[in-house]
Amino acid sequence: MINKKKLILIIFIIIIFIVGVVILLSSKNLSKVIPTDNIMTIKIEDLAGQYNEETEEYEELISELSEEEKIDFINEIKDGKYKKRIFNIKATSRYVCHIYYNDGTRIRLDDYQVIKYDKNDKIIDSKKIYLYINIDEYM
Amino acid sequence: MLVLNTNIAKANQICEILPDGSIHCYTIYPISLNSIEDVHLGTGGEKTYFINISDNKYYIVETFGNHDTHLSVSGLSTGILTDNNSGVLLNSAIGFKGETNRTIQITVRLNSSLTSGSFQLQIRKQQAVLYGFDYPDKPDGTSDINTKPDLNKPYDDLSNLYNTYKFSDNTNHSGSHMLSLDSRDHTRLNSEIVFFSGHGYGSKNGSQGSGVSFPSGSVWVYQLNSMENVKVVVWASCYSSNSNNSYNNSMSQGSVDAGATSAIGWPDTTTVGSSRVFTDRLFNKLSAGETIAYAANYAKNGLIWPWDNVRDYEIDGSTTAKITASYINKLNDTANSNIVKEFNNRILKEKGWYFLDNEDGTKRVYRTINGKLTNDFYDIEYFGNEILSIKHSGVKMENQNILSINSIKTKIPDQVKVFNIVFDRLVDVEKYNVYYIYEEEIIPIEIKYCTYETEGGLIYVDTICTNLNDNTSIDYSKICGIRGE
Repeated sequence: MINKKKLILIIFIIIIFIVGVVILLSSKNLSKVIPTDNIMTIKIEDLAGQYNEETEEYEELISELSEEEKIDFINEIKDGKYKKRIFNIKATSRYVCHIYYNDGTRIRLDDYQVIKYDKNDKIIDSKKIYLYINIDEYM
Repeated sequence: MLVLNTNIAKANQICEILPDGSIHCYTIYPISLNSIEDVHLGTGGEKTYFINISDNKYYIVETFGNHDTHLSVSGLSTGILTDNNSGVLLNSAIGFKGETNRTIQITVRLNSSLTSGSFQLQIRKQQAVLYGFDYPDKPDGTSDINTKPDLNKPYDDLSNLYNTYKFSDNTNHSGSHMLSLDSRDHTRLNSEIVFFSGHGYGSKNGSQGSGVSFPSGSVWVYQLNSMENVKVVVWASCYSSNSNNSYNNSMSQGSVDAGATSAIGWPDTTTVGSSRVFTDRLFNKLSAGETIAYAANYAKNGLIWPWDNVRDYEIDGSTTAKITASYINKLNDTANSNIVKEFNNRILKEKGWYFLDNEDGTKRVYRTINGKLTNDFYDIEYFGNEILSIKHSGVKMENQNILSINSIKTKIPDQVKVFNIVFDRLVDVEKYNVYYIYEEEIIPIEIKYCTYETEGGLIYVDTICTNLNDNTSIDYSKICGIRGE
């Protein structure tokens, strides 16, 4: 027979585990990982490129958001959510967002990852995520 | 027929004694694997090439150009293979299984003996290309996916049948590697079997399925073209059958649109482990001779958990194709597969079909109304249980108005006069009732084949057709043939 103390301990561990999983899998505020102050410029990149009718080839496509679009995008980040990604899936992001800050740092954000760079363009942090805002709309 | 000279080393003359005692001589030329021979033929001319086959994998002989060509391959234990239009446009193509240390002869001519012209000829091994990578680690130190092991079992299964290549170098085997020409002078994407295991572009809340990502470079939907050689392509990546993107097309459907016979993809996310279970089982069954549909279903059944996204695979193009079939038909496969799908759907959903066996082994399957035939039918050629070719009559019963039958009795004249000859004895009447679909109406028609005789024994058959709705007569010639042909 399991004594009472052991039973309570097991139940406690299970509860802690369930709470941990719920916290881990719950969506979080995007603004916690993407600072929304002192943003200088925001650029959206379509990795598929853009078709040039003259050269008949697809060329690199990066567009900078206008001041109005920038404000919209920042507001979307403020209201936006992300989830921590635990599993590796066979998906990657077509649209990539580059956020440049006044202090020379930058953040690369896509549907599956956030990467932070310092002034010297060295990676200082990264997170595997599921992004819950739609970057495509700004392309 | 006695062959006098078969010593084959270089261009050589072969002489045969024909059954009537005459001697027929012709020159045969060497052709090497993958080389593209320019063939120039005068009116009624033909040219024969020879090559030694070194293994028992699949090969293909094909012509290229703007002429209607005819090919034959002889020297195999299975007999002489011939083809007219299985290549692109009016070109010929013959797929066959090689036989070790056998010299085969390839004879090519223009389909019409009245024309002359130039075109190109190639013999090559059919091939399988397998792409999988150990994607570079993420900057945070956590590993990204590794799909290199996904290639091992498919390689073992396919290499007995096809010239099989594994590509998994992160730098050299980029997206452009798949799109570039190989020693066959075709892109690697235009191989008979194409397998990619890796990242697909897409996200839950954005664009999905616009391409697949290599460690270096990408292949996008818009880059899928000239895939006529492909029997099956498997895009084992997330969102590969999803067309929710700016191209409104998916990697799998885009492949079929580009000429692939069959393509497998996934509409949502997939994970490496279950994807590997699926593709290992898929290629195992495909190489054992099963159809795409059977092999994919078998692969799916290898996954234990019902919520596993890999179970949600989708097939575009033919579901009945087999990779162990050496025959090919580049021209008709895609069209065929769509009509096969339509036919199978209609057979399941609509009642009233009549199967008529033709003497040549083909079947004509008629849609019927109240047991009466209509001009909505399919002509089907079977290869075993598999549909090899299918053709629809071009008129489909959908929501047209079925006219009621108001006239029960129709009159037959007692005699007819043709070219001043009076056929005055009606000796036989064969009567059939049909429904004829014409524009927005389905008309009930009675067809009577009336046989008349003269006293002197001359016979004349008149066909009397009556619209049973309004009792008007109809010209038989208007309803007896397929419209547009």
